Amino acid sequence: MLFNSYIFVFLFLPMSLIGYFTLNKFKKYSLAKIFLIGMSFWFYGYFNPWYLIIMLASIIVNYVLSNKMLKTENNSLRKIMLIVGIVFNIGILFYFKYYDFFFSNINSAFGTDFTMKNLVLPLGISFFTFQQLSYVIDSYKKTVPVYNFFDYSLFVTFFPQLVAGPIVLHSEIVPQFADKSKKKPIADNFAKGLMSFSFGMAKKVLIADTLGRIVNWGFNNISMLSSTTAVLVMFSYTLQLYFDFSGYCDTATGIAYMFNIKLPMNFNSPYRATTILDFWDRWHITLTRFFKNYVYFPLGGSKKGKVRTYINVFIVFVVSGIWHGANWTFIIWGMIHGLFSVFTRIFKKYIDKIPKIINWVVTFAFVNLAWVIFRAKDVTQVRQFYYKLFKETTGPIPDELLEAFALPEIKLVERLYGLQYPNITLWILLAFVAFCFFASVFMKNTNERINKFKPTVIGCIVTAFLLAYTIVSLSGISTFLYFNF
Amino acid sequence: MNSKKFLAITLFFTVALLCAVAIPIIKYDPFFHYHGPVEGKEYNLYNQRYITDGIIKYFDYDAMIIGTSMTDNFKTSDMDRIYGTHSIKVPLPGASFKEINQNIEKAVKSNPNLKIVVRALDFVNFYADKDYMSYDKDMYPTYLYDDNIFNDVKYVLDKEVLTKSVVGDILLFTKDGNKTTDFDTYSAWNHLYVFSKDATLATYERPEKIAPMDTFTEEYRETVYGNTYQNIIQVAKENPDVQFYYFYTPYSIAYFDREYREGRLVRNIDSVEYATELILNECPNIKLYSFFGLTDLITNLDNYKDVIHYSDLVNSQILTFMDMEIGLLTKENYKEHFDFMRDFYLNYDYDSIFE
Repeated sequence: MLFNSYIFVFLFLPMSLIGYFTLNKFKKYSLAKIFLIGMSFWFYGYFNPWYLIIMLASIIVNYVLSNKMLKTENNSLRKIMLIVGIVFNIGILFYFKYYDFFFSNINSAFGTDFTMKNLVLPLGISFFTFQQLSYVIDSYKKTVPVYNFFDYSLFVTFFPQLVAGPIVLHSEIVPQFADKSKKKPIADNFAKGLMSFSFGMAKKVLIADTLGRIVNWGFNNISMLSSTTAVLVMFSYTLQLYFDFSGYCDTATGIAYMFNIKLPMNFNSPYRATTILDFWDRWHITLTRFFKNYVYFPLGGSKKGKVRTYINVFIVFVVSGIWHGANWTFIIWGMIHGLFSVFTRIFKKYIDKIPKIINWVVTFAFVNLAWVIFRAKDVTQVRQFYYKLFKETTGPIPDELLEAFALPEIKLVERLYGLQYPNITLWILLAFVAFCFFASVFMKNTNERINKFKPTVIGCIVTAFLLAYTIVSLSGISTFLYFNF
Repeated sequence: MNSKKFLAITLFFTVALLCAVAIPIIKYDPFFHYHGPVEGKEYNLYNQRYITDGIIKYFDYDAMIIGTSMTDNFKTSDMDRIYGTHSIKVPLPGASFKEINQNIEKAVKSNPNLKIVVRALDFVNFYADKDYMSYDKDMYPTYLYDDNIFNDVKYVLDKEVLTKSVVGDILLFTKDGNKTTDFDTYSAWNHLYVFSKDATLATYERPEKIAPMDTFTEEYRETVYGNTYQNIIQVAKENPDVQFYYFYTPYSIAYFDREYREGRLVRNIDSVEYATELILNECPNIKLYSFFGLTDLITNLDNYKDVIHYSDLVNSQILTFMDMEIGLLTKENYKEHFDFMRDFYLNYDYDSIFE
């Protein structure tokens, strides 16, 4: 199920909240957790119930392994179970996410004939696998308590964070659900949650999806791009990705707040970053944390000399690239981020002396260029896009792009005021992109808003307006392309 | 202000704003989901998949024209003049037999006054599965085709319906002095195209090689049977008081050239003959027409804009022909008709099209 759907907003979310707090009111605490797990299963299996089997199998295996490791004193057995746990989780991920990619590359390199499986990637598998992997590793280290099965299941399946993070740690979730003071609705949390939910939905539906119209047109029509349009498309994608992903996380944070659960911050205005290291402290923070704890540190971190540190940093970024998707574009994207991070570390003392604004410009430009690789469907498209970006001449924004961007409300404004299309659309587009940039860099992010939340009438109006505007933007009239006859 | 008040005011404003969108949509109902057109307001009609269900349920009519884009250019004024009816036209471009049939079933169910149904049969559709629907289920406005009020949120809480359909296609449309789209012009595109041999051939990429001719196998026969019985015959059998006028759409000779070169012509003719046999044996209330015998029409590419789509003059002629029973297939004459088809289309000098 999607957050940005009518069924979620009008049925699923109210049902979940009412059911959970009602059961807690009657002191049916375990039942309330089971209810929430059940709702999370509904949320997860909404589009494809078969995914539930994968998730359930993953939960049971990881729980059993972790439980055994926590209870046994036999170190060899623990080690074996750790290896089994890691192989199991990475194996699931490999099978569903990387099988075709791996074997298609093997086929091209060695002329073999492995058959592709064309598996549909189960939703959120990268997130819940990593979440559980961290628990398995911590169980091996015996740094986690023994949880009962339902506490563990709820930690993995709690629907706000299930399919796109943040990648939470058990210690951030399980104690909160055990806290009796959090088992009844708290107006302050609900108000913060509603505000965050509304801002997150607006970021996703009103901003990211609108920017997506520019981006999709651009990447589907690379041959028509001038360098001016290529810059616009690249810049729009940079903003789209931020508003999309951080919007999702804000929505998740908001929903969790309604349940009195605080999720860790995942985005801290990353486009304010003045170095690439700063960027990765602000972008997808819980993923960076995971890689730091479970890849970088086990590799030795910075304790084995400078060269080894740089190699470790580079490895972390390559792994991050692979985690993001089964495509060479993601691996290349990870590698160039790794290289730039190593470069920044090597020359850190010189870089720190450069004025911040210059560092910001360099960092932001690098991130923009790297996102092109992230967005492209293959390496050829990356090359085509960069060619247009650097080798093409400047030129006007094509009417086709403006038509793709023109939302129904823009068209209505043009019609009501007799404004001339497409010029007005161009100005609206430029103003919209400029606003998005301004909002991503200069305006308070949602976590800052939550921390400084004070209930005001203006806050009510903004929250209500964004929520209502988002809800009425969830549908749309499809254009039925001509079907030949 | 405390958080409880914040929540109350926010929810109140949210509901108020949502009502501000929903109320005008329900009131003017641009897709006729709840009622017909509001008196005093004019409606710009064009979005077939969104309004067909509403037109069928709430408009006043005793006859309907339905089919794929091959029915787009029919004029209900011709229909009413010839047959003395008060008709509607509800074309569904690209529709499968099942989609068209569902709408006919809805019409006979919701309108007891319905007396005549004119329906185009595109013979290539016989080969589709009887339950095939030619659209992506996710994009189709299924919420307009059922009585479930809960999924109506997709309609009444849609800013595009408000801005484009209510304000643009009703309020401003009325303010600008327009009149509700009549069924002569609704869905029609005749004025947008040039109908000529050059235009037709410009859209046609002739297959280079001639493929071996496919035969009408038992498997094809089963598919045609399922499709014909479920989506053509059944509704007629269940509604003996309604007169159905069905016709096979007269594609151009260039289309037959493609079918010939790609090896489908024999099985196509066999399948249409088989469907004809089924229809004639089962339904006395279906008048079935084939214009494949009107070779002057089909070989004159000036009647077409591409290999299948004919001009509105042909649409008008079809109504007249049906009234005059030209091309009417009967139990007695249909075999002779299909023998003629085989003889003519399998032996036609297709190269002459390009001279």
